[in-house]
Amino acid sequence: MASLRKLCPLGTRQNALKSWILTPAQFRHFSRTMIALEKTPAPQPTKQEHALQKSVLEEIYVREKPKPTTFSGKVAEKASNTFMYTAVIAGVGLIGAFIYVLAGEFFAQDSPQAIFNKALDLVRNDGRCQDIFGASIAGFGEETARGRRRHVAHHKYEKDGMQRIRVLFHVKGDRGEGIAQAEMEQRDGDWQWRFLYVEDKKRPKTTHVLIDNR
Amino acid sequence: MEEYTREPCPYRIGDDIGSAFAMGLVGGSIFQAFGGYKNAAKGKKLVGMMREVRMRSTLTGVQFAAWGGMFSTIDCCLVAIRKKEDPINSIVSGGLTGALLAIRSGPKVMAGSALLGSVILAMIEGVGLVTTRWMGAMMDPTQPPPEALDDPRSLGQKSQAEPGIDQTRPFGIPTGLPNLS
Repeated sequence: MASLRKLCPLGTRQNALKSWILTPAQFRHFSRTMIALEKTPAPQPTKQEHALQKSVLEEIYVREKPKPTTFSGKVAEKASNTFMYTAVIAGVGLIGAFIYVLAGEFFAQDSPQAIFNKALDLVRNDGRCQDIFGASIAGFGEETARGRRRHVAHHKYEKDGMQRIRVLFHVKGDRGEGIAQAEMEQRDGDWQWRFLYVEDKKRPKTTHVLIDNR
Repeated sequence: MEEYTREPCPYRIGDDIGSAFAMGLVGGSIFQAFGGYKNAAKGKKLVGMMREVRMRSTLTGVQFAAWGGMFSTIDCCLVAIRKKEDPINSIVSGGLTGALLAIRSGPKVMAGSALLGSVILAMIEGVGLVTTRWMGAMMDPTQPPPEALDDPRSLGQKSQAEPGIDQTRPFGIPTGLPNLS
């Protein structure tokens, strides 16, 4: 430093680099770089967000609308919000009603699904059925073209003044495969078993009657 | 014979992926055609529309295929675990599919997506159930009531008398010795 001070007179010390080491063009470039570096804010660890890092759902769920500033804009937003809330409440109410109806359908005593569930439990816990079909028995309904087997075949009818429902479903175990038929009858307002039996698909057929209340 | 009785389950996944892709492709084409037409420059409407459909509708198809494949896979797993096929399977697998496909967006988005998926599937199942139950009666009110069924023959003839009770004696007195006469 002492040598530098000796070299340049007072007041021109800032330009020491300019005059002695760098050409004017180089100096200009250097000073611009320095200023740019000083002006650059400290690099913050912000999360880089671009299309690949953001899923579509995120874009839908995490989006903020700019707030309106004018009076009419505010009124419009309020009106739209009210409408949206009404729509949401109506939708939730509709879904609730729908679910209520469905649950009623599903858990009603005379719904094919409920009968299927009960009958399958009986079949699974029956020792003779386990002998015929194997230890673990699967139950399913009629197969559709798309490979779904959810629909349980059933037939509702009236005979001798009694409401009856007959349900047919398939059972399959490790050892064999068969058909189970069940029928329930409404006696004094209560649905009761009329019969339940399983039948092997092999020939000669093995028939095993679990319930017979005819 | 083997062809008709085989289990649908593992093969169904492929079917579902394909049909979901086709559905997404068709639906996405229609949807993107509108957007492309609206956003294209004047005089380039048709070209812009075609380009948009070409580029975007396949993506929609792929997203649908991912949904369908995941759904079917989970459904098959549930069928194998529960050994039962009923609407609960598809509702649960709809929810799980929604959750698993949104797994990179964090638990909040996952929960929302799972709820959405299960509600949609519950609605589909419910509509199916309700139509099978009510549609038959509603479509044709003039049709005769469902015919009464006879008891299945394999059940055999059940004797009307309780075992051990002789019908020939009055008051149904138990004899201890069935059918002596």
